[in-house]
Amino acid sequence: MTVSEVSTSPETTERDHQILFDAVTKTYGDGEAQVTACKDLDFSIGSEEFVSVVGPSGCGKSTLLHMTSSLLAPSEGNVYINGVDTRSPKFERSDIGLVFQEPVLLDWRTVKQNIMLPVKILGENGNLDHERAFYDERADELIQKVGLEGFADAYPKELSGGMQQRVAICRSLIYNPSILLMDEPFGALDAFTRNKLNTELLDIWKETNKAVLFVTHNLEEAVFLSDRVLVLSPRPGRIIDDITVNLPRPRNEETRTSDRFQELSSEVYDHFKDIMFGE
Amino acid sequence: MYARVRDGTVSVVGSALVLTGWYVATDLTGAIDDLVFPGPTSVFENLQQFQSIVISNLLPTVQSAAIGFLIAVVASILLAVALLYDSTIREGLMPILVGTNSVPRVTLAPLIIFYIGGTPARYIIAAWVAFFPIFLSVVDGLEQIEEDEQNLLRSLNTTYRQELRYFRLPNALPLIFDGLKTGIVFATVGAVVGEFVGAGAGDGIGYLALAALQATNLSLAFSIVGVMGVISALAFFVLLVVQDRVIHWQETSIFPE
Repeated sequence: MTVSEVSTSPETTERDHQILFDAVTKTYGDGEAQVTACKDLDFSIGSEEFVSVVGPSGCGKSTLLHMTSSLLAPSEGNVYINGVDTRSPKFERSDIGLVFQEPVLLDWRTVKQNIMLPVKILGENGNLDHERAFYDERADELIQKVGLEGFADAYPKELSGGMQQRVAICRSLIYNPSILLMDEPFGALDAFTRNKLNTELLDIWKETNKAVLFVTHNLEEAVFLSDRVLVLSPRPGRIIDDITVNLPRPRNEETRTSDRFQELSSEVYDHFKDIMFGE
Repeated sequence: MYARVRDGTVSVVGSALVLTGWYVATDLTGAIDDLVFPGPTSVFENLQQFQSIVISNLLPTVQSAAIGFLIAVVASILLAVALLYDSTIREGLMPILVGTNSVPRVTLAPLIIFYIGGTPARYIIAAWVAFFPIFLSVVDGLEQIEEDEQNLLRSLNTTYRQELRYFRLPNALPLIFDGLKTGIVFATVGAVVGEFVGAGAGDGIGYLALAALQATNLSLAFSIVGVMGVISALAFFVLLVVQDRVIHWQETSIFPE
């Protein structure tokens, strides 16, 4: 299955669930040393929905994310991506784009070469269905979209942290995956750059029609970006709340000062108060 | 920048002091007899006098060192890539490799002459001496990978070949070059040792040094040491320039941007 076939997937029964966790538990280690990272996860992420996952450190946020990317297999239960079990041979990793906390750029490749890396790798393995020229043009568009015109031939060392993360986002989008997984992508940036990138990300999301699963420990960021916020408990992580964020879109800096935004943020924060100070 | 200039000045002054001390103790005051420890003037005069013989003997040594170095580089990279590919190969071979590394390398030279002999024995001795520093740094370099780098490559279903080509090899280059710089000096040592222990025909700078000592020409022996030092340093410097060109994305300490 290739990228374009995904969008016309015959498994229409699953189309309203781009991501589906069915009774998923993940444990590490054996016997005495066994640790349950997350337990009985049951949730779905709808078509082109933006969902954030928040929770205290060590609650299994990253485990959840990596089970979605199929880099980790669940110990119990199943994870479905666009209706396909992540452990089935039919599952295509190119359905998924990944963005990490660090940009993870290759120092020896220019901005554009970094963005084109997945095209090279997937193309060599026959996992792409467009010509190289198509992606070449797309890379230029993406570079323009994130405001990096003139930096296509620059090397990562010449860019600021925020610019590097923009390149990483372009790299995750170049092969047009239907799902974007982001693991605290702006956690290492200063507040100003973070807010700016939040707005940019929403613009990109709106234009590219993707489901986004966004892991963060920043509650305001989760509320600002998302359609829904999933709150995880301390380890073993369970979903203790699923908050619908009914803030109007497009969202901008004014959204952050609105009363509704404050209400939702404190609703999420209340869970953390319980976790940190409650019994 | 200031610190770098100051470091340079200190090095130059330090070297100048040592050379002056040598000159004062020997040629100027005659405190040390020329026959026991020749002064710079007589070393230089000897070098001039035996110029052509030194040059003609330099060539085979440089050739042995260069060929040995190349063999060591190719062997290191091939072996490191194989070790990284398969953990069974790795666990099977690593103890032997590390064990062999702890044997003083030069002790193997007579055996190499026995089994291989002739000029090829010189290449193999040079390669053998240069191999480990290169090999170990290639392994270290290829092994370096962060968790998220691994995740990125896995998420794209990257094959081992692609992982090597797009990530591990370029990522390893700075460490590989460190190994190459040590390796080239070691290869020179190996080439000279090969001549000491009589591998190949009676030529080469190591052979000439032995001949000079037998003729009790200390000054010539000293000038040979000096020439070999210069050759080694030159090779090291050439590698540094190559490194600066190849790893263009990283600033080297000698060539600030």
